[in-house]
Amino acid sequence: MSGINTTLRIFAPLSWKRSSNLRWLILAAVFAAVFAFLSPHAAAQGCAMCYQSAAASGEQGRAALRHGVLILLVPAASLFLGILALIYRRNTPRR
Amino acid sequence: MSASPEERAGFFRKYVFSTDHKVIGLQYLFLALAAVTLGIVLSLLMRIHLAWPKAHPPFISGGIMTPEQYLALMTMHGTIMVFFVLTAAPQSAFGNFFLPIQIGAPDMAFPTLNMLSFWLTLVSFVCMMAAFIVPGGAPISGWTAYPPLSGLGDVTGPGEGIGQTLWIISIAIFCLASLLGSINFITTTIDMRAPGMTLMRMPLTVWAWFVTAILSLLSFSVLLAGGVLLLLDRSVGTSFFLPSDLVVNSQLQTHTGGSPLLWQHLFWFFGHPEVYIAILPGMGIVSHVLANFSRKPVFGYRAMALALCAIGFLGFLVWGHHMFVSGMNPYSGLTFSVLTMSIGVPSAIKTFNWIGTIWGGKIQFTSPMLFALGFVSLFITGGLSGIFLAQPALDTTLHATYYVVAHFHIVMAVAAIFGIFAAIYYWFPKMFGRRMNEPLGKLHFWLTFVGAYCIFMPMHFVGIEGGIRRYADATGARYLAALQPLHTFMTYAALLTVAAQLLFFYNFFQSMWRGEQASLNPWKATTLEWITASPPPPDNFAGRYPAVDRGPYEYSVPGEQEDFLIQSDVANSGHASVSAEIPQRAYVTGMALLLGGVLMFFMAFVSAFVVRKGLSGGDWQPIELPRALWLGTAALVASSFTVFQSRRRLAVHDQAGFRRWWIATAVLGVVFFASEAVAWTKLARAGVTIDASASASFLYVFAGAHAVHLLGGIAALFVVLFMSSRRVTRDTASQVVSLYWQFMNVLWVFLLLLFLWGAQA
Repeated sequence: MSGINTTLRIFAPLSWKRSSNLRWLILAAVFAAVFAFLSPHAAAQGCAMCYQSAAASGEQGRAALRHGVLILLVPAASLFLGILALIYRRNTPRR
Repeated sequence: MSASPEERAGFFRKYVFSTDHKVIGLQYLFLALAAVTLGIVLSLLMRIHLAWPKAHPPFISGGIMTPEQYLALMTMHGTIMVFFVLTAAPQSAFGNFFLPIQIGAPDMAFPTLNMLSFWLTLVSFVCMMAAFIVPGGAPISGWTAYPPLSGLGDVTGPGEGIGQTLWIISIAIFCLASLLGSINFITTTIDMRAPGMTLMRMPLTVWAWFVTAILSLLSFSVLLAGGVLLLLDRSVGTSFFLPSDLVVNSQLQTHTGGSPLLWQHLFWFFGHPEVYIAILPGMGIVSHVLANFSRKPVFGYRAMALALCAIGFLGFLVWGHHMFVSGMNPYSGLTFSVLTMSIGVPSAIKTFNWIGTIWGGKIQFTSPMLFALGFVSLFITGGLSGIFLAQPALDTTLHATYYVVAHFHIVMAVAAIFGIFAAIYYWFPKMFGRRMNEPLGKLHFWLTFVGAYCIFMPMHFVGIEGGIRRYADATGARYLAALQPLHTFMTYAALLTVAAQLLFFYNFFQSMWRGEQASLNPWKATTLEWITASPPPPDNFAGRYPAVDRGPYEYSVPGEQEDFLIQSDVANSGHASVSAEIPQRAYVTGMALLLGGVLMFFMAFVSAFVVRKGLSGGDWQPIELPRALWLGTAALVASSFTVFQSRRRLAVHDQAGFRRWWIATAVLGVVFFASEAVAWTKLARAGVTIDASASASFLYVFAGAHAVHLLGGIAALFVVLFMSSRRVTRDTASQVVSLYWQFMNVLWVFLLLLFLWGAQA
C-alpha cells in the first residue's frame, strides 16, 4: 500500500489538470506509437541503387553496413544535440 | 573630420580581401549569380538536345552532341547548382550579410576565417571550371561521382582523367570552406548575440542559418573524407571503392577488393542533409517575408523554430535508410521507417504555420511576397510527389525516371531558388541602399512561376510513362519517342523561363546604380537590420549597438501608432555600453566546433574501415608495426602531461614555467613526427606501401590524416608562444590549443587501437 502511495505522490505533479503540456505529450506519444506500429517498411526512399547493392552484399557485408551507419550516425546525432544544448545553455547573451 | 580606418583602406582591402561580413556576403552572392548563369546555360543545352536530339548546334564541334558530352553537361549542371548556388547563396551570401546584423553583432566571430572561407570557395569554383578546358573535358560521372566510373581515370571515358581529378579537388576545397564557414556561423549565433537577444527572440532566418550550419559542419567533413579516399584510389592505386577483376573498355584493372557501395555510404551521409542545407535557409527567409507582408506575427513562432531543429536533426537519421536495408533486425527497420516518415511532421508544421501566418492578414503582394508564396506552393507540390517515392513498390518503378528529376527539381532546386529570389527582392534595399523595380519584379515572378511549373509538371508524366533519366537520346525506343512532344514543350517552357531571368538580371544591375533611393525601413519591418543605415556602416550600427527587448515579429500590435514594433527601438536602443569585442569564450566554442568537424572527418575513415573490411575482407594483410611508431606514440602520450602542466603553470601566473612545459610539448610533437617518418620508411622498405593491401591503405590514411592535423597543432603551439594579439588573451589561446592537442592525442591512441583490433584480426 505504501508503494502505491509513493507512486501516486511521484506522479501527482503530472496530473491532467495541472499540466496541459503533459496532455499534449502523451497524446503525441500515443499517436507516434500507433503510427509506428502501422507503418510500412520504408526500404529505399530515393536510393534504389543503394538498396539493391546492399541487398546483394551478403550477411557479412550487411552487418558491416549496419555498423558503418551507426559509427557515423551516433557521433553526428550526439554533436547535433550537443550544439543545441550549448546554445540553450547560453540563452542569455553575455556580450 | 578624419576618415575611419575602413574608409582609408584601399580598394583591394575594402572590396577584395575584406573581412567585413557584408562584403563577403556580397562576394558570395555575386559568385552564386555567376554560377547560376552557367548552370542555367548548361541545363538549356541539355533541354535543347533532349527536344531535338538530331540537331547540329553550332557550338558543338563535329555536329551532334555525343552521349558523353551530354553526361558532362549533366554532371557539371548538377555540381554547380548544388554546391555553388543552392549551398552558397541562401546560407553563405544572405547568412553572411544578415546574420550578424539580425543578432546585433558588429561582425562574425572570426572575420579572417570568414574571408578565408570565401576565397577557398572561389578557388574551388575556378578549379571546377578548369575541368571544362583540360584534355578530355568535364567529368561524366554525375554530381554523385559514383565509382568505379569516377575512380579509374580516363580509361572509363572522356572527362574521367584530369577533369574528374579537378572535380574531386574542387569539392574537397569546397568542403573545407564550408566547414570553416559553419564554425563561424554557429559560434557567432551562440556567442555574439546582443543583450536581450534570447533564443526565442531570434528571427527565424537566424534559426535557419544556425541549423544549416550545424548540418554543414557535420556532413561536409564526411564528404571531404570520402573525397580524400576517392583521390587516393585514382592517384596512388588504393582500392577503397574499386572492386577486383574489373574490366573496363577491354582492359583488366589491377584494383582489388574495394566496394562502390562504400562511396555511396559516405556520399549519402552528406547527400541527404545537403537537401536540407539547400532548403532550410529558404524556409527561414519565407517565414520572415510572409510575416512582414501579411502584417501578422509568425503563426506558432516557437513551433517553427523547433521544427527547423527537428528537420535538421531528422535529416541525419533519415539517411540511415539509404544503406540500412537488407537483413536488418525488424525493430531497427521499424525505427528507421518511423524516422523516415516523421520528417514529414515538422515539414507539415511549417507549411501549416505559413498558411496560418498569411490567414486573415493584410497581404501586400510585393515581389518578395510573391516569391515567398511561390516557395510555399512549390514546397507543397514537391512534397506531395515525394510521398509516392516513399513507397518502395512505386520507387522501384519510378526511381530511374524523369519523375524523380521533376520531384527533386521542384522541391529542392526551384523552391530554394524562389527562396533566394524572395531574399534578394526583400533585402536589396538594405544591401545596396536602392530599391528594385516592382513591376519588373512581379513580371519576373509570374513568368518564372508559370515557366517552372510548365517545365516540371509534364516531366512527372514523362517519368510515369517510363521516360528514363540520364539518357542523351531516348528516341530509339518507340514508347519513349512518343514522349517527344512533351520534351519539346518542356524545352519551350525552359526557354521562356530563362528569358524571364534576363529580366531579373536587368532589374538587379540597373537598380544597383539607378534604382530609387531606399529609406531606412521601406517594408516597415521589425528586425534589427532595419534600424541601421542602408547599406549598413562597416561596424553595422555606427558604434551604438542595440539591446533587444521584444520578439522578432511584432506586427499589428494593438494600441500602437504604427502596426509594428522594431525589436530594438531606434531612438532608445543605441547602447554605447554594449561591447563590440568578441567574447573570449567564442574562441573556445569555435575550437570545440572545429573538433566536432574533425571528429566526423575521422569517423568517416573509421566507418569506411569497418564497412570496407565487412564488404570484402579477403585482402587484409596483418602488418607488424615498427617499434619507432610505438616510441612516437609514447612521446605523444607524454605530451598530454606536459601541455596539462603548462596550463597549470599559466593558471598561477608562472610565465617561465608555462613556456618550459609548452616548449616540451612542441618537442615531444616533433619526436612523434620523426618516429613516424622512421616507421614509414621501414614499412616502405618492407614492401608495405599504401597500395600493398587494404590494411596498409588504412594505416597510411589514419596516420597521414592525423599527421596533417598534428602539424597544425605544432604550428599553433609556436604561435601561442610568440603571440602578441590584442583580441585573444594568452590564457584563451593556450586553452584552445591545449584542447586541440589533447584531442589529437586521444584520437591517435584510438586509431592505433582500432587498427590493431581490426586490421590485424
